[in-house]
Amino acid sequence: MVTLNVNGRDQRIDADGTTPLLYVLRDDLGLNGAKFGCGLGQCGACTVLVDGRPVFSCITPLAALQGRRVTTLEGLGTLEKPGLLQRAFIDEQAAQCGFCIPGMIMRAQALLQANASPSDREIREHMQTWPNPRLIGNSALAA
Amino acid sequence: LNAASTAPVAWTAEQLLIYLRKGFVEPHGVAAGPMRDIPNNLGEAPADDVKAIAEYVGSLLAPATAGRSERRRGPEARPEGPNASAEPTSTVGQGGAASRDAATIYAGACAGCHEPSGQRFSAMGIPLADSKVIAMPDPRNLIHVVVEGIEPPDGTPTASMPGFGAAFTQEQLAELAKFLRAQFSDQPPWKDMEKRVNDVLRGTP
Repeated sequence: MVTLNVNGRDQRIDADGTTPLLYVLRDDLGLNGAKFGCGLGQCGACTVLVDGRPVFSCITPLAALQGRRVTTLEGLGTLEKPGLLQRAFIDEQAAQCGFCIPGMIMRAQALLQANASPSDREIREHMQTWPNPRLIGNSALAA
Repeated sequence: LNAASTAPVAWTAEQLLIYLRKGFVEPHGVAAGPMRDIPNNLGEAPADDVKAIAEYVGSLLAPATAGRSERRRGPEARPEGPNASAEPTSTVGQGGAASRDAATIYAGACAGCHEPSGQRFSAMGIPLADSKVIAMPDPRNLIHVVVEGIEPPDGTPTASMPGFGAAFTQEQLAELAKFLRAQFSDQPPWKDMEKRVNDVLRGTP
């Protein structure tokens, strides 16, 4: 049994310690923002924040998360009331097919929490898991 | 590279040549850290020059590797998987929760790419019993690899290894390193691992 805090609420999870956080979020908690992309920690579609820093939830086992703080896309805002960064992605039309956007938003969110006005270069370095940092950089800057 | 090396797999001059030219060779893995740029840069150099480097380095290591080869664990000594880990963990830590969790964290985060039963085919992570950084006298390289991951040189067929510096706590990183050392090398345990991990996380050389 592992207790972790997800989007401000404590959750007790009864699953094998090797279970990826991504499966816990999607299958046990019904939080479907984070997506399964490659399953190898390469593409970033599964990115969420753990203690404020971006991690690939597809390769982060539950056993590492006792007492830790997880933030998912759902923790940033709602459909009716999107968070600042979500609003910026909408305004800048930064969504492409949309599948990996939750991961991009969460990675950008981590940067902005640590650095409210990053330079273009800082944005590019931080977002480099993805092929089009310029586009994301613009929307992150807009936020 | 010579007899003083604790690396479980000895090099050959042929492997060195491929490594220097391509940045990846089985069973040694990818050129990482400060070596990452070498294959990219040597791609510009005449093939004969790279061959000369490989042959020279090969001449240094050739006579010295016999003892090391003996130390290398045979396939039968390899752990069959994360479930074979129950015994070594008891020799690793002080029996704290994090120490027990290290085997589970290994199985959940590392085994997928580093064991044949997982996705090793696409990721091409090396079997950890062949790992040099786990067998080194100093744990610093291993800590850097786990915390920061490995970005392979351009053109290598391997996946990037993601860094786990945000996913794992300092204590978990220390326990995982101790677990890997006990499980995948025949070397004595490292000391002061919490401090060593802390040094790497703080960027202390």
